[in-house]
Amino acid sequence: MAVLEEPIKEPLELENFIDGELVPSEGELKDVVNPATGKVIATVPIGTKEDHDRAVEAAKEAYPDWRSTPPVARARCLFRLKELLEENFEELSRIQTMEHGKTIDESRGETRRGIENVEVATGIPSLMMGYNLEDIASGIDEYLIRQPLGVFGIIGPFNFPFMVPLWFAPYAVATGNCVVLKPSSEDPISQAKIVELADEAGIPPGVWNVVHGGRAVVSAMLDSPDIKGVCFVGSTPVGRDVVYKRCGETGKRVISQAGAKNFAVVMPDADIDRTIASCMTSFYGNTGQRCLANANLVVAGDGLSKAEHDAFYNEVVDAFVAAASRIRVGYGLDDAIQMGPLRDASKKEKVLGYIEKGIEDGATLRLDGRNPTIVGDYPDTCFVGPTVFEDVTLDMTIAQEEIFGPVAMMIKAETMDEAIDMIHTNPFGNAASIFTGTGKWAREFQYRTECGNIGINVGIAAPMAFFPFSGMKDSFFGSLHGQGTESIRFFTESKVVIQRWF
Amino acid sequence: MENSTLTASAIMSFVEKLEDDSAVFYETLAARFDEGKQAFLGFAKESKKNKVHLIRTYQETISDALEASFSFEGLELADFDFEIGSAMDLKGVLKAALEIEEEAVGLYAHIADQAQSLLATIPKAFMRVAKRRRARKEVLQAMLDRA
Repeated sequence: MAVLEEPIKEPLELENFIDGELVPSEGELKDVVNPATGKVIATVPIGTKEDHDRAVEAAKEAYPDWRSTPPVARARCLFRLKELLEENFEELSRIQTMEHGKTIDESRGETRRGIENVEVATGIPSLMMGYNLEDIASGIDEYLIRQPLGVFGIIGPFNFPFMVPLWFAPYAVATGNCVVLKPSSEDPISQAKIVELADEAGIPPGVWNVVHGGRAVVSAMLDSPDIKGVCFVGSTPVGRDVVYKRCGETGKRVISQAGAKNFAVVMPDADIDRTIASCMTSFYGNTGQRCLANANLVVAGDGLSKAEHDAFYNEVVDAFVAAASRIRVGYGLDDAIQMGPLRDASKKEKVLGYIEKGIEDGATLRLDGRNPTIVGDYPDTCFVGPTVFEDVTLDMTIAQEEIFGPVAMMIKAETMDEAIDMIHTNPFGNAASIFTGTGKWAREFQYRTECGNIGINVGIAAPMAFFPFSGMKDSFFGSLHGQGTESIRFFTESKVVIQRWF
Repeated sequence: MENSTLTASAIMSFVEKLEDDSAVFYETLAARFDEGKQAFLGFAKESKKNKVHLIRTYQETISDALEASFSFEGLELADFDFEIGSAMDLKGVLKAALEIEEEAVGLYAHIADQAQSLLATIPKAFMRVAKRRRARKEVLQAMLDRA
């Protein structure tokens, strides 16, 4: 199979997009590197507080006009944006592969997921409706209306550079707010493209701004009295101790989606072939850099003798290792490839550190991804192959901490109850999956497991755009979640009117 | 292509080329043979439509959460032979076209079967193209019988 044509031929020089225009920053420039080829594909400014403040001023300026634009007119801008995203679907997908490293199938999937959020937001004339009741008392009526708040900040992560900011921005804009969006400086190209399409779609200057950068921009956003709320997706330490805390201190609304350590529980009656197929995408999709990726696979032995449970565990682990060892690793634009590199060399170092730690702690390394066979002539700087540890116990670091790489831990539990207890001892609560043919087990698992997103015979419990992207415990900080109707509530204030005419 | 796990993208690249090549093939036949010209042009047009239909379905269905990268096991994507010699007469050409259609029907049916784990739209799209290709076979066979 051939490598698909790269849409970026020469390094791009990215700039902030403020008030409908590309604006240079005073900040230093940083290289954006394709993690598969090692080539520089863009430079991005590390924006300053001044850049941020300028964008906020533009957003504040644009807000009164935009909030009084009829929702149906705002929706039409989003319909046009959706059309432009569809027209540029392939280019946008290939850019994600170049800037992040994921496979082209994964990038196209991400593009689709992003567009779905724009689609849902186009329903704003219905979604934003309030409600009313006549005669709450004699001759008195009461009704609720939803109003936008002003300017929102959005801080995007590196692992889904296209999709994640679209969990928030279309809803914020559809409800009449303005946004200042900071993409990850590791892979900022997708958002630079999207904001230009938003401009082309007729979204007025100042409504949708992009400021590139890092901590300075985030700090300015969190401290700004003009920012009414912040949406963040990233690590737990930043999400909890910085974003959530400072939003609380400054009285902002907040959606802070953070880290994860997800478990997949395989019951004795699971369809092994389909379970393993699903697990491959779950554990190794996006090279494990996904907050919904399963990392710990627990083989439960309900109803089995010890010998039968051992045999079942071995069957599952052998099938898992066999499938993982067949995954082709390389440049994601080669459409024969099933797993790309990690986003950068430091992430590879971190993952290698965890593999070393797993060995030190006594887990058995069944499949070693430290020196993977790479399809094609690419530097191994960011590549780690599928890795499998077995005989993992819950006290091991690799079973507890988020590795964010292609490393799977095989664990044995005597029963589903024990498996659920294992999940509950972990501080995270983003997602969990169960593979079974028994409704009773599935229902019990869904009912008791303290995780925001549950998969039943589904390896990646990723909510569609019209459902909230949930999360619990150390995986989520806030009250309302992104996507769907919860998003509409997050981006609007409920105002109640009680009226009587004399 | 070796018989192994194929990505959805690899399948799409292959069928995209197959429909492009098919369109060119039938346009070439239409230019060379007056008899059957309309049918050949119709097949070429249909192949262009098939390509758009398959790409659109794939792009509208694929999601990062589905098992897209690991869905196709045991498929062999052998190259199709669209070469026709300049000396080949109508009968020879029709036989070659029938062979291509036979292979294409098998391929699309196989892909549809393998795609059952994806959302229903994907197997349906491939089945639809297989059905159209099967209908072509009937037209080509009737032309061959008359030739």
